Amino acid sequence: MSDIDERLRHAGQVVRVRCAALGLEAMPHAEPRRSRRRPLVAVAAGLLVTTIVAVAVLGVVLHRHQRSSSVTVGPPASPSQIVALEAFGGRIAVISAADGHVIRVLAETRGLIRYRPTLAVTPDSSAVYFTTSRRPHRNECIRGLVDEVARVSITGGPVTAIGPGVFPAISPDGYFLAYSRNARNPCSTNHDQLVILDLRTGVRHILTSPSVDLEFLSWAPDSVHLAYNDDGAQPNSPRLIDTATARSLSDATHIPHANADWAGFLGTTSAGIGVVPRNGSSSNPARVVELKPVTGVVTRTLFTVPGGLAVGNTLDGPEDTLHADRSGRDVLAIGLLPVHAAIRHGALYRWHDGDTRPTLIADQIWAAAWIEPTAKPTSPNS
Amino acid sequence: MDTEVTLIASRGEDFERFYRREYRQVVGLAFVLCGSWDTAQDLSQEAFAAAYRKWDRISGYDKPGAWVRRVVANRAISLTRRRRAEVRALRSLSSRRDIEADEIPAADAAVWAAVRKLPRRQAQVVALTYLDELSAAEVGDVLGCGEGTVRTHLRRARLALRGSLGDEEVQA
Repeated sequence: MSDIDERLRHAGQVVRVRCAALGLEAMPHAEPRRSRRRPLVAVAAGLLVTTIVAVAVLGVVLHRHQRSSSVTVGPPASPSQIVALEAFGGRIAVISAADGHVIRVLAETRGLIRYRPTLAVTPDSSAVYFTTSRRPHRNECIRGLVDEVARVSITGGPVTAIGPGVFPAISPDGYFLAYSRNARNPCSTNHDQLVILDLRTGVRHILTSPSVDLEFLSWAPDSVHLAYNDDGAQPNSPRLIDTATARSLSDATHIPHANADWAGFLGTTSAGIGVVPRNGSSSNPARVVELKPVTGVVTRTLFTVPGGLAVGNTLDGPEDTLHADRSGRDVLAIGLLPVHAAIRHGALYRWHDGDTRPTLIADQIWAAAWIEPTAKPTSPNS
Repeated sequence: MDTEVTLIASRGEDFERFYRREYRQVVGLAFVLCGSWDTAQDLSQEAFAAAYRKWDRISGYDKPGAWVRRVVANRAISLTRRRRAEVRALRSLSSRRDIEADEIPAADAAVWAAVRKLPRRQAQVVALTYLDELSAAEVGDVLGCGEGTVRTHLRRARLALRGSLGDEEVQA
């Protein structure tokens, strides 16, 4: 008995040591530099608006000082604002691309983000579609939460529920909202149905295939073809569907030349769809390319992102953000794992083409999307 | 005029300290119960996210860490999670070598593999006892059962492990 006891103690010690070796101690929170900013947060939460502004400005100064000594500041970003979702499903806010300060809070998710935090900004930057979660209505499903696509104006105001689903994606022409959902059980995290909502008419075009699990939806520049990853396939399969003619998800085709590692899409660039590997790591840099969706021809390499900035890793955590602006040259990315000591877990970075290092924008972010500079925000009712 | 505030939720301050203190140990607990670092981090993130959603209530508990451990211990052993772990592990084999290669020694891995084959409660008791080094009373607090029950589970678990691990040594 004592031998078993000893073996168990040793095995426990080994795991504790291994946890430390994995770098879990290097959480962004533990970095002493941040302690200079943290008291400001506590103070800001309890003070009047004028005081908050003053503290935030001071925070920005500290932030800039910190950044200047640790990361390269690239050329001025073309987009100046970002929509971001706080870690643990907090607020959705418009933040500055320069220093991460909050310009405007759009919505409170009450912490209810259980699955794949995703943000989609309309091409005219008038609204943001996002996923949130709620308790199921009566007879909707037995247990769990319902993931729901919702909309809020870029200026704030009421949140409008679109319906159960995840991975909202707006077509480049702004006419269609695509998202995925489960055909029978809205509490399920397996999404076998693609919904194309015509925002002009409210008509939903629904495509289903029971063996499919859709994720990472991304429109092609033509606003007709939609790329997604089929997580139900083994290995997972980047696929393309013609939303104008398809009758079911069976009509989708495998994106030529895309392999199983090309599992994420970072959005639509002017010429194609950005495709990224499922994960980047210190030993597996993420080569982000642009490809023609129909032919699968790679038109250019956008970036080769080093370890720690990538997609698709954790539930209820930073995972799906690797979002390019329209030029495809300015990418938002979330620090992925505490394993990567050089990158802060859950921190939002900007990676401009030509930069040798990413620029830290803000900490504790789970999802983000560019607001394009040509955007002309409209009224909350538009 | 727009108000500028730092992008951290007001209630996130206390929670962040809690998260920083507990996260590593909770990942370890999840790992020994599910056998995958990927899934362990998933489970831990989910548990902490759940804690954050209920932080107003949980922060008032004497041991909020026990609440998170209970969530992780219960979820880690669920059949659904095991299936998901297998799928995710297969899916990420090619791209997560840096982490997956970072395995624990085979002898210790065998111990935890044997623990995972124990009945659910026994596995949880063993993990909390030997990984988190909790007393029987503390394990009882986490799992919501009495100290005597914990001792019984632990005794039975040791007996079972002596059989299974002993067999492995003989076969080896």
